[in-house]
Amino acid sequence: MSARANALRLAAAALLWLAAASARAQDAPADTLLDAYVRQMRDSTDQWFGSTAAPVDTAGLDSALAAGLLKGPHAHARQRRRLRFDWGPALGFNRADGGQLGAGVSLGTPWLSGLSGKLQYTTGTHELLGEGAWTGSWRVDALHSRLGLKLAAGRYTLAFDRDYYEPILTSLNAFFAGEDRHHYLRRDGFVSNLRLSAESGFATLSFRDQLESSLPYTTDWYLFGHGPVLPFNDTAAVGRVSELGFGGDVTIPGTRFRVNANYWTSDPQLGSDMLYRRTRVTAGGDVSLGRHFALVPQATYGYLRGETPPQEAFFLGGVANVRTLRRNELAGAGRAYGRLDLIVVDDLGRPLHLPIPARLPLQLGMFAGSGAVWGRDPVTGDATPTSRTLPHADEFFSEVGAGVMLRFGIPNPLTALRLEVAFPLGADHRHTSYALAFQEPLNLLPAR
Amino acid sequence: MLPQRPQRPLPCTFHTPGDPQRVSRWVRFSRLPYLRAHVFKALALAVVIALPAAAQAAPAEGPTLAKEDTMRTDVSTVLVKAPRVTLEEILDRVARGEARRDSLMRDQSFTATLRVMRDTESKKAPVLFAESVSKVYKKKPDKLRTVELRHYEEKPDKGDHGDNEDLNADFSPSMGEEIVNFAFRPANRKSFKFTIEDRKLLGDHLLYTLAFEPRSALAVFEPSGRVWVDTKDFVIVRQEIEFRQSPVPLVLKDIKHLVVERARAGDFWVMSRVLMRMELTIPIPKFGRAFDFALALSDYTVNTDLPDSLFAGTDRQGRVRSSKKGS
Repeated sequence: MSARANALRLAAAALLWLAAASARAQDAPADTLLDAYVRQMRDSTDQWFGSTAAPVDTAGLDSALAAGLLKGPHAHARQRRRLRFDWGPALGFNRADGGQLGAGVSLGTPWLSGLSGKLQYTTGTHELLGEGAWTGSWRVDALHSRLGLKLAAGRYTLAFDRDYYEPILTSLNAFFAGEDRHHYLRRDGFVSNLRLSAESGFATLSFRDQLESSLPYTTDWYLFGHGPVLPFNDTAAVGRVSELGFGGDVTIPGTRFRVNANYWTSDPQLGSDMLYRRTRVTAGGDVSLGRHFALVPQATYGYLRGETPPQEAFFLGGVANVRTLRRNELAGAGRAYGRLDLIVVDDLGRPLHLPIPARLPLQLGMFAGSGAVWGRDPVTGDATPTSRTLPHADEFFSEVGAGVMLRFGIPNPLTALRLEVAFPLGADHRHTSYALAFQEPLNLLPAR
Repeated sequence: MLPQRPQRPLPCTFHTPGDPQRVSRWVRFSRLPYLRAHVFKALALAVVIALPAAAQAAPAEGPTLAKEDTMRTDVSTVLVKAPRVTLEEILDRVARGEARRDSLMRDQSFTATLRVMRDTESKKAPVLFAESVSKVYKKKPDKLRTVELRHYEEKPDKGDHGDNEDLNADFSPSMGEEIVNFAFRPANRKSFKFTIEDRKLLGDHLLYTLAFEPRSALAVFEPSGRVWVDTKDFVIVRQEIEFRQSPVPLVLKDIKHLVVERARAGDFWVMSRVLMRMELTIPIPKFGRAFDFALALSDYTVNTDLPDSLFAGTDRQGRVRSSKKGS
């Protein structure tokens, strides 16, 4: 049987080659002026690239092909069954957990999709954090999109600010300078996320069932000093949360603007101890002013109805929005913020002969921004329930500023190290502030 | 006596303003003795040669060119109503031409050579860092088979038995060649600004050179460049891409040159080469700073009715290995 199969394969290969050879012979192209012109351009490319453009040495390729065609799919199956294994350190630092020391592993095969795990030991609370997760994704040809599913369970330490939290830079800031103004809580339980993504946008459906609890303030040191800027960690509302989330992100057709909307609901009917509805809508894009200037408007609006646990509040202040306020200085049940950047996109480093390492493009920018939170207790500063959906005019904090951006291009081509100075507008307690941020111009929109 | 043909003036005649007879001087010269006539003819020739200069120097004197004023004709003005093809129309037709090209392809096979050369801008000669040669078969709707024919690495990893996937190109079953026509695809076209740079008539082909650049000023890292479009079939025959700024400046200093070429395979224009030279910000030990990447696709066959049995048991990458590394 095997010999017969091999003979058939050989015959098929021979037929294939005969067909190919005859096709090549018939398809000898006519030598037109167009061909000559294209060939002339090709010759100039050959000259520019030199040996890179040299034709391949064809010796032995025919016999390698004949042998390769005779090999059956079993050769491929071996490769299919192969496991993919990766591992790496999983480190973090905050004043609640202290140091988070651990490692993460991931295991993948085409038939098992992706399995991953992470385990960390916390030096402040002396506990184990970790996660076990399964991820899979499938093509949806009918919608020209991809469907991804993530199922995970574990014990997590997370920041109160659900909207703008960057764990790596925040950890570095806390570890080296003690400048961490986030508050943290513990979440234990199960999370899941289903995501349908295409070129023009994505839609998500998520569900989580987690026990939320407070974390103590355990670590009062940082590498170069003692006593972090916030010598406490805010108390979180304790309870089991079953939360359903819907989200979407779409590019407005014919424009370079995106709209991102999310809605989270937690209800006792879902088995949750908390009742809230959290909505956040963000829009932004860029408009070109000639070839050298780009105008980047963006705005976000958020509103929390029902109960207002501190870990679901909206925060204002810091590099995420109003720079002349300290990070997360204000919290409320509602938040509105808008910002307009004018960026000179050309690299200024080279014409100015600045000694910039690796010749990173240096861009100049100016901005104006204004934001407000409402639904907050004036005494405690915590978010309180409110029926208002819009802020009052006197609740806005406005500012203007300018700065330079050193575009790194990692992880996103637009990601830059921004050094900015911001001036407050209006008579209040704020002062001129200097900010160093690692972000994109459209920082309010979540990454796709 | 038979009627005689009247004496006709020679095509080039001399006359002075006010000469009533308008008779060529050659006719008069012919009456002179033979030798003398030759001398005069030579002189007249010299005058003809010197005429343009003399006419410029002293337009009122000497002989001037005759002006034919006995034949007159009037050609009525013809209004051409067909307007020149607009850029928008060209872009539409290119998108349609590329889609048509894709739709006409049922199957194809080619030899793909992936090559990385290092030290391409140092004083020494460039060195072949890695090369992989594969035979690729594609058939609609989504059949693909790749047979690796040769794999070379300058310094293969120890303990690696041909499983290294670093240099293997993952071919797609699609024959769409997105790298050639990405800017012209309906989904992307609004992201780019197009201009007509040049047009050339080459035999019965009109070749347009179109330049494109990102519409967004903020997207300085997105590709811009120019494409050559044969308007006979509205297909792209060549593309040169450049970047105003590197997409990843921290790692990649510059993409110096990126060329995508197509060649004819029968009735179709198919991608034949992608060549790219890049420079890193920091030199990598034993690799250098500047390197070239080349993908050459040759030995094309198109629509040869590849048998389905050829693709049996292959996955999306369609790969079946056949030879050992370093061969």
